[in-house]
Amino acid sequence: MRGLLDMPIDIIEKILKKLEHGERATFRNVSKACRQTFDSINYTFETVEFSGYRNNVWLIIENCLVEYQRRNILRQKDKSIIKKWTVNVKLDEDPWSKALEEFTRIFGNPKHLIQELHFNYKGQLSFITGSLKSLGHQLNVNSFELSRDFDGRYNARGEVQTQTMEILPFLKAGVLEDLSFECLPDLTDHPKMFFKKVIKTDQWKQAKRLYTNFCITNMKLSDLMHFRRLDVDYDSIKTKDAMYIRDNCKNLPGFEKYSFRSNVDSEKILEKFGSEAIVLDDNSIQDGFLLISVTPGLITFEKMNQ
Amino acid sequence: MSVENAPVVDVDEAAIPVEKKMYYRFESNDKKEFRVSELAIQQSETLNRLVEAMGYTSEDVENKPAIAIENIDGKTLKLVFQWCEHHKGEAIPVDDGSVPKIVEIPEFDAKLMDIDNGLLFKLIWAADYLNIVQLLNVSCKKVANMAQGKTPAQLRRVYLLPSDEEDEAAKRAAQEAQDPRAREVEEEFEERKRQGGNSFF
Repeated sequence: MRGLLDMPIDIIEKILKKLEHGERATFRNVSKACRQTFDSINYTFETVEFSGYRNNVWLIIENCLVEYQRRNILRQKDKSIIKKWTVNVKLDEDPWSKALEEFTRIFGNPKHLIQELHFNYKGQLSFITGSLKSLGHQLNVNSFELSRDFDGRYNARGEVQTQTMEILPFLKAGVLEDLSFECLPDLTDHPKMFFKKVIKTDQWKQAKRLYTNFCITNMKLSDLMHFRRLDVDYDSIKTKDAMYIRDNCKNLPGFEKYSFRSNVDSEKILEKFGSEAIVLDDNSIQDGFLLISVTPGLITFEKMNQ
Repeated sequence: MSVENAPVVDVDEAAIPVEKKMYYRFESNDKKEFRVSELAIQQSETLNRLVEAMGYTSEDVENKPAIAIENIDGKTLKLVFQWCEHHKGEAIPVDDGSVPKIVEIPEFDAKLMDIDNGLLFKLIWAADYLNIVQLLNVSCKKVANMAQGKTPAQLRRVYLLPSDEEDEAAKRAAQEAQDPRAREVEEEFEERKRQGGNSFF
């Protein structure tokens, strides 16, 4: 009798793509032939998330969770998780390297696509570069998010950059569209971080959207002007900066929206723009197709029809 | 069974006398004949193109031999045409290569596909061969649903998947079938071993 693997590969693909990742992973473990078949198909993974700290790491692929634990710590129950495995990690082993081992096994196929890749962590990440290097190819990732919980102690201004540079070069430039970097807890005084190396990468230069909740030290506005969407903390925006950003928004193909949380010279900017544009109310003006809103803590540029 | 004696299965009997429509005759590889309405055939891109190319008149469909479908047996083809008749006139989804993950299986389809796994796999083969996009969608979803909550051992039974050992045995058998001399040599070697020797020389 003919079984599933005797079907044409495009039918097997249709069936496997209708499975949740947990079932696909089980299918992959049935036999060598199943593994080969599984690995020959290109999947789109909606979300892949690493979270954790030194002793425990959680790898979440879509709605399946693998927990790598040195200690038995209960993770808050997440309703979206439908399948869960627990791997006990010995004291002399690193849970991050175990999680990354699994990750590199799944993403050995260079054609897989990850729509959103998240890293949420406390403490230091380790072994990432080595694991990603062992893949031998860059990952297709649309959106990359790094979230570092400093537990209120912002004492390492280069750390987010160091961790970013362990991962970013292994994501394919051009495919990567959205970048998000977050320091937790969210502070209102615009903490400053080094990002000089990150800004020089092709991944940064070809990305389309950026979110940060910290200021990047010594960064020029021109390092940001290729993004279609910005939601960032920024040191200070003066009148000439605002004019430069406005001109860029008007000329940038596919421009979406810019928000700068910053010390904004709001009165001077409104006065300058007010002479050239239509004043809508106390803090917003219409300049061509642009709606520019200015308050002392925030300046936004967006399309009028949005 | 001769062609003359082959049973003729009207898949949509109730509809026949009401209005005069063109009914095509198809024959499965085990010589079962089916009468299928023109509108139902439109669900299958392959068959629709075929009948358009043939350009049959209503006399032709009665007088000429039934159109043979070589690769599909009568049991499977009956299910296919029942599905097509039930869904005739419905919009056909555009096959843009994407694979929708969320597919609702209507009650009629669920009952139709309440069959053993072997026949279900044949139905998928047929839907693919005849290019019936929506039938392929629902049948693939049905097969995917069968994997829910299963262990690897259960999946092996549900999807009729051979184990590594069975795969290797099948591979060996295929190799031997290709090269009968290899089997003879092996038998000779076994025979010599039984006689006490362990070498050809």
